[in-house]
Amino acid sequence: MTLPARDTDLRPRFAALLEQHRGIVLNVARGYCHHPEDRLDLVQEISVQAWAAFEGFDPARARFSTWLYRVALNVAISQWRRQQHRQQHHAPLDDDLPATDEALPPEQRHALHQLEVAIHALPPLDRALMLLHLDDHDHRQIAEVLGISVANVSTRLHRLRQQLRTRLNPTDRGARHATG
Amino acid sequence: MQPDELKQLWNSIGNPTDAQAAFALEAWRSHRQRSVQRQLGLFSLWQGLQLVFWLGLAVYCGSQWWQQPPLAVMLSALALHAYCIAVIIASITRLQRRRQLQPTQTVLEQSQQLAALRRHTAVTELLLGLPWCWLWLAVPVLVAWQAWGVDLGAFAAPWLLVSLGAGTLTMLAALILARRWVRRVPASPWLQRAIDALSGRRLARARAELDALRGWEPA
Repeated sequence: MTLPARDTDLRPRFAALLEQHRGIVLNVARGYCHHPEDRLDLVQEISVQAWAAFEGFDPARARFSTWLYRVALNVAISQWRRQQHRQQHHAPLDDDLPATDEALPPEQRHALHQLEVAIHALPPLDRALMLLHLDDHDHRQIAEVLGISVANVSTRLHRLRQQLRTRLNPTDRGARHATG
Repeated sequence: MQPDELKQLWNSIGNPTDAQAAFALEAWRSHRQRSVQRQLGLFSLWQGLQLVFWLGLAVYCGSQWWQQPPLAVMLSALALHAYCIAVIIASITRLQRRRQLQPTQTVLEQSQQLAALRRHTAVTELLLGLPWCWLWLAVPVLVAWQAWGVDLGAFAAPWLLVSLGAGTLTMLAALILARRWVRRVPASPWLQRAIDALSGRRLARARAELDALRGWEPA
């Protein structure tokens, strides 16, 4: 079977870029799916959707990483909403999350599990913001992916970090309440 | 825990780069791409066929009431005609909204459009679903007139009135029961969907989603 001209031109470019930025896809899948099978499904879906949209990618307008983050987050949020609708009465999140990497020391594994639970409990857009932040993007890049103002990124991120910190260290809140 | 510690912790296991993940990433090369396109094609074909059906029915009903038949037949044809137009408008609006969704939009833009689409679906499901408690009567009235020249309005007026009353009661009962059962979890997803739609929960959820998104300042 012969490939269309579009495919022969774009295929190698897309393959190289996707390989280079595979971490983005895997990171988003990890942030939006509890189960390994769901993650793999989401990774597949993102790769298919990204390829379908790649023809319209213009490197002069956006970096590939920004573009891929948008595609990945949009696909992940749509899929998450569909799943949420189907599973709205299912087991709580704590039970749903798989065990984290067995190679880590137990304390770190516990902390990571707590962090994953906390991230999975965030609303989808807040989760996107937090994932971009954890992946070390600056406020301008986050604003570009999400389509919000840089000031809004700063405010929301500040609130989210506080929220996560309180959730991960409940004793902080207790101490603050006691002293306050 | 400090922000940098959060980042460190999150990145401590890295991402799995096992064979399965690598295979999933290669999905764009596989037949899956073609199956997605085929599914999209089938979906568009199905939507197109539905539109053709409603357009045909609208034309037929229009031709019926235009000839000024007996009152019951004319009212039935008019009601179905109006319903067909409402369905056509709702379907075209939904298709347009779906077309606007692009995976390369900003995340906020797409979330807003998805929530608006969900609200549109919730509203149209209610507005186009409930009238069938009465509207089904239009079908035997039109069929009887068209096939045998019988005016059910004159021939079976009490039956028509009782059926209209029963339809009203059914509609009210469905709304009340859906509100009562909204917290239960029926085994059937179809029933769950019906309860969500009739109780207004679907609509409330879509509205809440849109309200939450208003808090995000667009760039």
